[in-house]
Amino acid sequence: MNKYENFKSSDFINDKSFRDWVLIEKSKPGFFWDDLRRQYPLLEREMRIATDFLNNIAEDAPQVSDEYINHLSERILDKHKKASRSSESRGIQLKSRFFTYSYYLAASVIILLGAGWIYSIVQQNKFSNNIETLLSDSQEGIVKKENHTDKPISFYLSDSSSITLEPNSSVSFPTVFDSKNRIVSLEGEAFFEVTKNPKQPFIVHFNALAVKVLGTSFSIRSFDSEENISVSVKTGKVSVSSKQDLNTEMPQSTLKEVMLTANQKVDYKKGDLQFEKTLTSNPVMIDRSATPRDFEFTDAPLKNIFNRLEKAYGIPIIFDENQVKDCSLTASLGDEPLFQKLDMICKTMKAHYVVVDGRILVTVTNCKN
Amino acid sequence: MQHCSTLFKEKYYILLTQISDGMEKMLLDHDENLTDSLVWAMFKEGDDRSMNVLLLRYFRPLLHYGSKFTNDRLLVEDVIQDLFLGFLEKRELLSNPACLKNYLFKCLRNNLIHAIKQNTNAFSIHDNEDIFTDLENIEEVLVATDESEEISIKLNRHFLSLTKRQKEALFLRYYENRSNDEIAEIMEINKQSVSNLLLKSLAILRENWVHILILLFFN
Repeated sequence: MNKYENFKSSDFINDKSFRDWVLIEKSKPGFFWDDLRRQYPLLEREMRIATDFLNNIAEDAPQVSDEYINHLSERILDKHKKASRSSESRGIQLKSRFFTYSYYLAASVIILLGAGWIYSIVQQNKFSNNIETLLSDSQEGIVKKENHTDKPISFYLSDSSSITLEPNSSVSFPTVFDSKNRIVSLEGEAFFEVTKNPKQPFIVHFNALAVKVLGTSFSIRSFDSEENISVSVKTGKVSVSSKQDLNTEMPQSTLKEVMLTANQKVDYKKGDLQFEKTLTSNPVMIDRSATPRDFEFTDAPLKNIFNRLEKAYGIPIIFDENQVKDCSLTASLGDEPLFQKLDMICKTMKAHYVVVDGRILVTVTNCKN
Repeated sequence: MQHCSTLFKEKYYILLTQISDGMEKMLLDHDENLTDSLVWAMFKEGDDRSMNVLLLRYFRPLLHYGSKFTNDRLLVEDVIQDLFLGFLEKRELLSNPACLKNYLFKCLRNNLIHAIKQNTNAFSIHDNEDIFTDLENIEEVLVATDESEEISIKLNRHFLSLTKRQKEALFLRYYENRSNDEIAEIMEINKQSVSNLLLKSLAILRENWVHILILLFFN
C-alpha cells in the first residue's frame, strides 16, 4: 500500500490496472482503487486528475450495436461480390481459392440427395421443365437410363465418361453432347467418372442443385425420402451451386455456389437452402506418390508435418505460425486414417483441431510441456 | 478485446478429437480464444464469415481511433468499409501482421488521412507545432473556487491545446494500451518522437500536481 501513498496523477495514468478501472469499470466502487481512495484521502485529488485525464483521452467511445456491424459486413461482401461478378465472365469458376494445386486430373464426388416430398414435387416440376429445355439444346436425342435391379449398372457416355448407376436411380443425357456443355440430369444415386475437357464442362443437375466439373469422378445419390442433400469430393475440384445460379431470375446477391476440393463435403438442407461445408468422414489420400514412410517424423517441425498432411490429403490445414514456431514432433503416422493422425498429433502437442468450412483448423496452446 | 502480446488466454480449448458441427458456429461467432491470426488466416483462405468476426472485434476500436482524426463519423465508416473491401479484393496477397489490431490501426490511419486530405482541408491532422499549454492560464484557473471543477476546467483547456498527434499518441498509449514501439509503428514515426509526444502531453500533470499541493497546504 505504501507504494501508492506517494503516487502522483501521472503514476496512476501509467498504471494499467488503474486505467482499466477508470476506462472499463467507469470508476465503479468496490474495486481496489476505490478502497485506496478512501484510505488515503490525499490521493483522491491525484486520482481525480488522472481520471479526468483518461476520460479526456477516451472522449466518447462510439456506440455501435452488433447488428449494425453484421449489417455492415453483409454490405461489404455484397459490394465485393457485385464488383467481382461484373469483372468476371459468367461461367464456370473453378479457380479454387483454397488450393494452389492446379494439377488435378480427376475428382470424385459422392452426392447424396433427398427431399421432403411436398417440397420436392414443387421443385421437381420446375426442375424437369428446365432440364428438358437444357437437354433439348443438344443436337441428338436424349437417353434415359433406369436401374430397376438391385445391383449397380455401369455404362459409358459419348465422351467416354462413365456412370455407375445405383438401384432405383435414373439418369438422362444426350446420345452426343453439344460442343459447349456436357449436361446430365440425375434422380437417385450414381458414380461418375468424367474425362477431362476444360472446354466442355460436365454439369449434373439434381433436384435444386447442380454440380459442375471439368474432369472428375464423382457419385450422386438422390432419394425423395431424404431431406438432406450432400456432396462429397474424393479427389479433385468441383463446383456445387443452387439451381438459381443457372437462371438469372434471382438477384445476384442470392446466388449460392460452393467450391469443393478433395475430401470435402457439402450438406444442403432443402428447408433453409443453405450450404454447409465440412469434410468426408474418412478422407482419402490424394497424393498417390505418398508412402507410409512419408509420415515417419523424427523431431520434425510441426509446420512441416501439417504441410505434409495438407499435401497428401489435399485438405487445407490452417494454423497460427506463431503458435507452432517452436513445436516439433517425433511420431510414426504411416498407416492411420487422417483423423487418427490428427488425434495423435494433438494429444502429443496439447493441441486440438476442428473442421471448419471444409478445412482443418488447428490451435496449439502449449506444445512445450 | 484481444491483446497482441497474449495470443491465448488462460481458458484453453478443450482437447477436441471429434468433429462437432456446433463448434464451427461457436468458433466463428463468439469464441475469443480464436486468435486474430487464425481468423485472419481463414479470411485470407476465402472465408467470408471471418470478416464479420474481425469487424465485430475491431469496428468499434477503429471508429474510435478514427474519431481522433475527424469528427465526420460517416467518413470514418466509409474508410473502414473501403479498407475491408480492399482486403477482400486482394485477400490472397495479404501479409501476416504480427499484431492485427496494430495493422488495422495503421491501415485506417493512412487511408483516413488520405481521405481527409481529399475531402477537405479543414481537418488538418498534420498540425505539427506541438503547442504546449500556457502555464499562465493554468495559474489563472487555479484561483478558481471549487477544486474538482477547477481540475476539470484545467484539463479540458489542456486537451484543447493539444495537437491531434499528441491526442492520438495519448489515445494509443493509455486507451489502447499500445507500447511506444507499437505506437511508433502505427504512426510511422520513430520511438523518440512518440516519447516526446507523450511527455509533453503529460508534463501538465506534474505542474498540476505541484499547484494542487500548494493549494492544499496553503489554503
